[in-house]
Amino acid sequence: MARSVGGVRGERDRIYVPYLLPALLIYTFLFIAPAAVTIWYSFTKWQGLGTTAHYNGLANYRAMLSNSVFLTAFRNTLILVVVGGAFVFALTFLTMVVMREMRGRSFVRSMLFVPCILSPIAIGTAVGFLLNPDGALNQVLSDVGLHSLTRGWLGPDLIFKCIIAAVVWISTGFYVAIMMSRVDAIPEDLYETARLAGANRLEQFRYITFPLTRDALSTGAVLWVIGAVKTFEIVIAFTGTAGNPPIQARSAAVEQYLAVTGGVSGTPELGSAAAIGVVMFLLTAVLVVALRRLLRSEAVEL
Amino acid sequence: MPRSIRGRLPRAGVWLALAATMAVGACGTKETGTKAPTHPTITYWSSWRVGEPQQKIFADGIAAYEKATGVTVNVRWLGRDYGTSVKDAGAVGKGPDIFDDTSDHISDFRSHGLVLDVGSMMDMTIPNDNVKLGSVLPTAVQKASSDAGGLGLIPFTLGSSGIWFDAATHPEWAADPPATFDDLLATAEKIKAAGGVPFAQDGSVDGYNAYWIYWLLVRHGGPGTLAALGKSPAGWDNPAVLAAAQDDERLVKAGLFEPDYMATKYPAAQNQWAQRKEAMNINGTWLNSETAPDQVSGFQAQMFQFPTVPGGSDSAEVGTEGWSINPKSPNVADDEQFLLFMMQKQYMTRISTEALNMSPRSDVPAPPMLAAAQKAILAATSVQPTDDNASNLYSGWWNDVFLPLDNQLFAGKITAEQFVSMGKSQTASYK
Repeated sequence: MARSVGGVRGERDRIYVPYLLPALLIYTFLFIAPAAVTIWYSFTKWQGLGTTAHYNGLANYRAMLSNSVFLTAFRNTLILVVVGGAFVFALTFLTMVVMREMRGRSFVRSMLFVPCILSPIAIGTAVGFLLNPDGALNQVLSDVGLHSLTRGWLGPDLIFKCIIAAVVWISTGFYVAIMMSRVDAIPEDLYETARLAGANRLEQFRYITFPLTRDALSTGAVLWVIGAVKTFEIVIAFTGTAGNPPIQARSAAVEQYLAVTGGVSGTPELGSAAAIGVVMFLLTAVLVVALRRLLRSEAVEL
Repeated sequence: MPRSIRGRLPRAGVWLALAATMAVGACGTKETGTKAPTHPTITYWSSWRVGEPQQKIFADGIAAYEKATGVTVNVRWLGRDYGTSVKDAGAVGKGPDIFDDTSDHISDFRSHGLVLDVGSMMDMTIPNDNVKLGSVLPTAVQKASSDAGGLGLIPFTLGSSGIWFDAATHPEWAADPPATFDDLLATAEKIKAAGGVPFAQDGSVDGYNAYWIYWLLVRHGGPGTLAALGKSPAGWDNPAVLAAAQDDERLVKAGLFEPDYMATKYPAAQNQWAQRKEAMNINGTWLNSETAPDQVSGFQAQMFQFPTVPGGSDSAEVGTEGWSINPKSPNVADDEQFLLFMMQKQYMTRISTEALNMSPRSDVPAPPMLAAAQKAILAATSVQPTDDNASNLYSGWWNDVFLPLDNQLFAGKITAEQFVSMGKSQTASYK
């Protein structure tokens, strides 16, 4: 009996192999092999195609750890993930509380989503128009008598804060859309019962909405981490490409870009760029695993 | 039946997958033809886009050359991102015979095996003009177009940097620009006292902020002073470095830039200068072309040389842009003849009159706004490349140590002494 079951199961398992093979091959050629090559190049000094890569052990990684600029970019990336994430999800939760019973909520949801589909080039142009020292924001502040609040928004001291604000503005609509689609699936009678029991909106959120959307939150948080670690184009949109972004505004991905291109004038260092890529991957992996553990729970079946 | 499907479908899938993978692998740069010569074909990949003045000039030259020789020039107008295409194609042996290059990228292209030493062309004769190429290219220009591997390109344009102004509102500077850095500061103070803003500065472009310290370093210590800072920490001990940083600090402390100059979104400041909101802008020789659409009516952009300092050097900056020959080209002799044809005075004059750039030929006058720069280059006893070549030689250090530190000095966050001590220690710890 056991033998025949084993035989059937073995036969069934073998059926998967040929079906799996094409996908496995494509995955190997397009993902695993390039990743392995990247890891190899991270141990070399290499200026790109047509030049010889020289093995230099852990030198790229050691240089990264002693390079205050990379450490700043790494710290900025972490700040963006944590602080930006806190703002994004706080605003998302707030929206979930407010919008659940709001009239015209699908319209508002669409409006919140709009920044997510804007091209970074358009945002970059708008940034110049709005945040230049003589731009619209300072102009409006002066006109309403708040001249003391005018600032050089794009200067080294403030630019990273402005970038975080922009990332929050761009991203929140996306997470609102994910979470609200889950909220919409919660039966209304749960809220009616809660209301009859005297629960206010916050309590309804805490005891109904939050537990029943937790699995969506887990997915959203993972998506956020993956996206935030790769933050790149919004920094370039703010700083332009005429110069190198100021250190205060650089993310790890921007450092990688500068290593790949050599900056405005300079020679590419693809070995360093590969090492930065490996570190970014590890950072993402660690954060994602930590988040999954933190938010682990059984999905509540309705 | 199920067995046969199971047996065949996945295999088909495997072949499909393999074919797809190989197709992806084959997606590279297309070969544009370096065929064995019966009628020789020269491939040329250009950094210019169709419609730009240089493209029109070169296209005319190419057409005339093809007509005169029967050689086909297969040209691709790739635009500014051409460099990656050249390197990638070169890596698989399909690079062009000739491509655009700049003096600060010769070493980079050479490390990819794409740059032939064209020094022997200096003894060759330019057709129709009947002069030797070397006799119309000043030594400073040849030197600027070379690296350790020899002459890397045949230049078609010279670049430099200096202080731009509007000659319509300040005709006095056209004839008699501020001679020393102290004169420049005094001139700027006067403008400020009269309620004006002396300098426009796109402070968010770190490379533009660095123009000041770069010029002050080569003025105080001569060419090589800035490059020495990237080479070793000892370079920072040169007294000229502190003197230059102190002058930079004086400039910043005097408050001579537009408000919040570190926070402008490029090209806001240079466009404001073109609208006469500020009097001067330190920039490259391209500034006139870049700001032309924004210049107010009657604006006459002109550039004067960066002023000298007492007891310092009066070197000139020369950067070049030109054509490099790929050593793997099967038609090097034809490539050389083609470039000699393009170096004729009739085309190089148009670089000055139509593209409004400095021609490398000493017998072609620069456009009026760049006359001072050309005069300085032709008379120079010593020259340095843009940024003293530091951005090219030590690009990682330049991006991660020097520019950020200079930004701090230029924003008034650190003193000249801190700049020197931090620069020395950061250079020591930079690997």
